[in-house]
Amino acid sequence: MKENAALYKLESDEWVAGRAAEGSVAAFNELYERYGQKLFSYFFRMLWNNKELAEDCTQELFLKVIKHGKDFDVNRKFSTWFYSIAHNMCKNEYRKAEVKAKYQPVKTPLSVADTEKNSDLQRFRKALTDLLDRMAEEKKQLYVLRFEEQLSVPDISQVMNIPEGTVKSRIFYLLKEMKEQLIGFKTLHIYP
Amino acid sequence: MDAEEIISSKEWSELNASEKEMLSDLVADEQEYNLLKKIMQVSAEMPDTVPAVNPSVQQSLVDVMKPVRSIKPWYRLAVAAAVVLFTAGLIFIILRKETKEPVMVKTLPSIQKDPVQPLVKTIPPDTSVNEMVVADATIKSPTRNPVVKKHIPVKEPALVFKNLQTDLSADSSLLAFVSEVY
Repeated sequence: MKENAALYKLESDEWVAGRAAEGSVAAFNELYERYGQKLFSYFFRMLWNNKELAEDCTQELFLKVIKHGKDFDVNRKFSTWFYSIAHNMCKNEYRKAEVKAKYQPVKTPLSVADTEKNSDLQRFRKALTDLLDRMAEEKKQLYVLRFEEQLSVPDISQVMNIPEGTVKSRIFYLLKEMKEQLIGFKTLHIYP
Repeated sequence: MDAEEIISSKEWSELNASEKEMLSDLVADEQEYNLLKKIMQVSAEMPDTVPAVNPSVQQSLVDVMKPVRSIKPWYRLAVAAAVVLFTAGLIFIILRKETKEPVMVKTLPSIQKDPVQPLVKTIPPDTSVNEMVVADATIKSPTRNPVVKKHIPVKEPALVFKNLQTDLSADSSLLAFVSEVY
């Protein structure tokens, strides 16, 4: 039976994920369209802008959906579940990097901003990226989830497995720290 | 409304006194407030600067899914039937092999030469019983396994009949009965 790909476009993430776990390629493609680039972007930002590593992690994450999608609790929000797995995978990568760093220094790949010169916006982006690379693991994850992936506070609370109040206060202190680190840019007019 | 929401949704000029009071721990003036706005705006655009994921990632995942999809119930049934048939066949062969074990029977050389001879040699009452031997019922055909693993010694029939002769001569009534039967 040929599957109707358009059918899945109207359905919820949870329903589409269920069909994908049952072996529907059309459902899987729809799910990948919704989350493929998003998750890759998350991994890319979290894992030192390393494209190959981000692709490997994206592939591994979707493989988990194919193999263990049936274990997904339908009462949970799919995106939260998805980001929770991604969050744990990043933690594992940080641990591996720590072990590696003992024997050889980690080479940070060139960021996109390195190749683009001059404009204030590029300089600001570069500074922000550098700041992100220097951040502690937990802060970096909070920043990417909240300000790049635009997840809500309750969703971040579930992904990171911490209370909502803690998420809010951590965001507050994160903003404060970022402002202090980037204070040199406060007179810069990069937006009208 | 918390500090983050205020910053992302309002300009400095739109803030009221209570909101400014709320943000006092975070920002000291309009420039700092605008810096935080910039950080949030640029951060939201960051995913756009990320390169596109390689299409081969999706393709390889779809390839992984295909074999999973092709396993249909009839295919599983066919595999199960094949396993059952194979097991039944194996049991049949083993049982058949066990019943075909070669039987050692002592045969007379004359019987081996001429298979038409009677199976049992009839012995008249007055004949010596030492010659009585049981013959093989069939012509000896080459067996599948000609090597005999264990040789079972055949008890000399003469000894048995010798004892019988002794017993018969001892009991005259029994001797008379046997003679009458023969």
